[in-house]
Amino acid sequence: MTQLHKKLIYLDYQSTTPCDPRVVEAMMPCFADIYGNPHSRNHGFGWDAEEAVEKGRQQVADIIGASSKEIIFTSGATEANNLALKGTLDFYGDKKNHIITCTTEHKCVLDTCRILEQKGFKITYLPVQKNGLVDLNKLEEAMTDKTLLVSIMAVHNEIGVIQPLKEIGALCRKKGVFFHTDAAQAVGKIPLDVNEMNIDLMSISGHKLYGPKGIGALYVRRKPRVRVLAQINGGGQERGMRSGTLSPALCAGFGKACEIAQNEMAEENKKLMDLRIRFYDKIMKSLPQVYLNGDLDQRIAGNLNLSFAHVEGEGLMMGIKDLAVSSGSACTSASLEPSYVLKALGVGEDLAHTSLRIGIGRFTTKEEIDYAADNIIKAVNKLREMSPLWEMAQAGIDINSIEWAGH
Amino acid sequence: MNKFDCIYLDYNATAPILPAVADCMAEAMKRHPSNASSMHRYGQQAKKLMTHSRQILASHIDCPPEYIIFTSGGTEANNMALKGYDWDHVILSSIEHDSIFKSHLNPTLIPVDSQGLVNMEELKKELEKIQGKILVSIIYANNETGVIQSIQKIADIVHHYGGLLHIDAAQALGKIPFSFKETRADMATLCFHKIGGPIGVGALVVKESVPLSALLNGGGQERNRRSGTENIPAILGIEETLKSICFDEMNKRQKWHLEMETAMEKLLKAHGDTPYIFSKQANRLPNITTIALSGLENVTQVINLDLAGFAVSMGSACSSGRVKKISRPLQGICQNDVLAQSSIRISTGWDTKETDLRDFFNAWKKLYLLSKKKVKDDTAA
Amino acid sequence: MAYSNKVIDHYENPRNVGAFDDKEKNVGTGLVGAPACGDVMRLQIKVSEDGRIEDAKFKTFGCGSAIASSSLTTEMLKGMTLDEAQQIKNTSIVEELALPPVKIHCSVLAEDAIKAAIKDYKGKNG
Repeated sequence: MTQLHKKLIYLDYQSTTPCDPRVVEAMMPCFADIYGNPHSRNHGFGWDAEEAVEKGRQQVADIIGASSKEIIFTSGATEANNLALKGTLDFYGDKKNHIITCTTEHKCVLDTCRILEQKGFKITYLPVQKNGLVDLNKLEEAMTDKTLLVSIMAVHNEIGVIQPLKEIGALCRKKGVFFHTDAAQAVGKIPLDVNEMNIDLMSISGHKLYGPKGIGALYVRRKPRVRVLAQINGGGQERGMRSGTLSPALCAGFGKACEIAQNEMAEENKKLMDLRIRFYDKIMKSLPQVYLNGDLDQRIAGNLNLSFAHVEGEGLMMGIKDLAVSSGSACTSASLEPSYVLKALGVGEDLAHTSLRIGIGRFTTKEEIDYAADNIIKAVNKLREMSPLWEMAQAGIDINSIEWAGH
Repeated sequence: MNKFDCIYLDYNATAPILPAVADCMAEAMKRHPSNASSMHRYGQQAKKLMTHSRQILASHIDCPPEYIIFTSGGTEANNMALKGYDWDHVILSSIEHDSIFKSHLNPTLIPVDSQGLVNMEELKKELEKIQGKILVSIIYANNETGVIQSIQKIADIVHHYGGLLHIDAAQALGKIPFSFKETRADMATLCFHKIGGPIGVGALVVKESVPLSALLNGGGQERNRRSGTENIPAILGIEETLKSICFDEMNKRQKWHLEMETAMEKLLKAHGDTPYIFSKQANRLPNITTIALSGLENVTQVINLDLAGFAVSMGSACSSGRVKKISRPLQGICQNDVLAQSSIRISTGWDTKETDLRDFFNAWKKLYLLSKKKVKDDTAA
Repeated sequence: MAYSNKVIDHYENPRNVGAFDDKEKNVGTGLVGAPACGDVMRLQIKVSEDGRIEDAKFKTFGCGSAIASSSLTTEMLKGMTLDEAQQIKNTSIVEELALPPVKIHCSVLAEDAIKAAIKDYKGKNG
């Protein structure tokens, strides 16, 4: 990894994180001496595999203050989100058929909601405020006696903002509505407690917290009980909520990743915050007309999302090819559409095209941050020299006053 | 031998991971962060590696790479085949895996014969009765007895009546030559951990003519058919797994199984018992023996053999701890509850040695003789 | 996104970046695209008395392919008559830069910019 880092600086920690070497180490024994299908409960191999799985489950539960019985392993956060939404509606849908989510949710929540809408369920897509946060009054107004579930992501994958989870949870509990949160970007990044926050369902991802890919979990509250109907049927593993053979190695790695994150979160966040401030200050001091997307304070330490006015994001990425950053969510950046998230914040389409997401993480160094900031500043200056919009803006021409043809 | 001092004979549940596969995955995890959807070089590298693995798999099973949808495993792939479209009729054999059986509310079941082979006449009769979008799903090689279906014949029948055929090839891949094209199926489920590959990854092979929609919605990976960040280390692990497939080794193991079965039959007959080996007369997987010891419950057998140092299984592993009374597939084949309930499965793989099966036979023999003695003692008393 | 070497070369060493005074009678300016679409291209030509394009300049807001397409276009235009310039098709830009299908619109934008610049020049001198 260090070798490649010399060539390419990884600043895309919201897209995926490198596996922590300690996680890989924790997985190796499962490869080397544990074999057996953890569900084969009638011979010693199966038992040992199960032990690895259950230890992992406990570690996952611990980081969110849950009981291990409330953790359902899945193949990742996408599956967990699908299961949370479809699984609860499948169970309760004939009595309560309404879900409230918001316009800036991850694609897998929005896409799942779209499918549910086609099946006749009602979905409310709440707008967010300019800073990316949900307006609690609007949330309360949207609730009806048919509302089954509120699904709001804990930490945003593009703009890193932290939603007021405790307040949302309290409101949901008061109204008798389930609270699901997609916490793929939050677990290991901010302290979470499902009881204190009244969270009923929570999606977790392994590979966003320095764990392995191919595994995630759905937390499903037991008291008061939340019922979820399985979306993948078969052997009836995971207490009937999710069938499929579990990989002891993946469970062990995922668990280890949670344990490390839990132990090191406070210290790591301090380090990340220092790096972020260093980067942000450098950029803001050197470049005019750079705008931060999403709230600065209610934000995880490892994320910045910046719009560099009059410089197109993809063109900018090409100019900083030593930096692995993203211009919008990794899942959508193959398309040429500007980010729907930035649009939802009210960022103009012209500015939305100029944004970069910088994800700082466990293995980022001060040198990398300095190098990255200098490179971005250089590239932005060069591209602005080349940009007709920058020239017009300097000449005092309002770009919005021009009648653009579009294409 | 391993740290349990126990010989593992339960490969059809899962196989120990091949050292080369473990190394390749650990290497991939250590290498660098990779999300194949990212635009930067790391993302592009990941995508390239994944494309390569997909091509290797495609050429291995003889299908275009676009047919392959990577999933989290065989169970998800089976669910996807059955739930990914609003089929008017779903027809299954009576010996399907639970991940097929429980993925549809009211399937029509086709019985199998005493060897476990699908009754083609019954299949035709059912197909004649119905119209609309029909899916037939058949387990290519059964996990519990190893019986291999005449899949081309089934495919031709299904297509003749305008239906589509899905095959669950989770146990077939790597154990018998498998060409998706030659099976003439429309979809196939693949799984890699039965032959030493990674757990947590599988694939559904889907012809473009099948109107399947996604089971998992989201980022639109796998050409919009299966969302979720691609599990690159596991996908690279698949490529490594395929390298290990060796049918000469399989043939060798088949010989060991047959030798053991002959010895078992001889022993039973010598004591006046009739041997019952499942799917014995049919085309069977080379790595499996499923045999009944009538009068001795499978739980008792498995626990005793475990104490003697052998890990074997009683029916499908996927019952997640609940000791299932009777295996549906075994019951479907022998039509006899007692027989089904007194059968165990011995399945082998890449790390099995010839002496393992010989040693196992001795332990099994001891158990059998002990039970005979007990029966005698009981009768005498 | 995998870029061809030619795109990278034009992006890193863009030819003829800059501006002419668009009030000059012998200058034609084409401004195409829109900020909201992520591409804006401004292409300018300076036409000599015998009707040949003696110089061309551009400024572009857009991705690497858009910048490369404009840079290449200014090189192609130099020395052409207006009629010849009018004949330039986006496909020749696609070929020259080996643009992938998702980037073909950049070449279309360049062709539009040429036509718009010629139209502007003719409008002034018509």
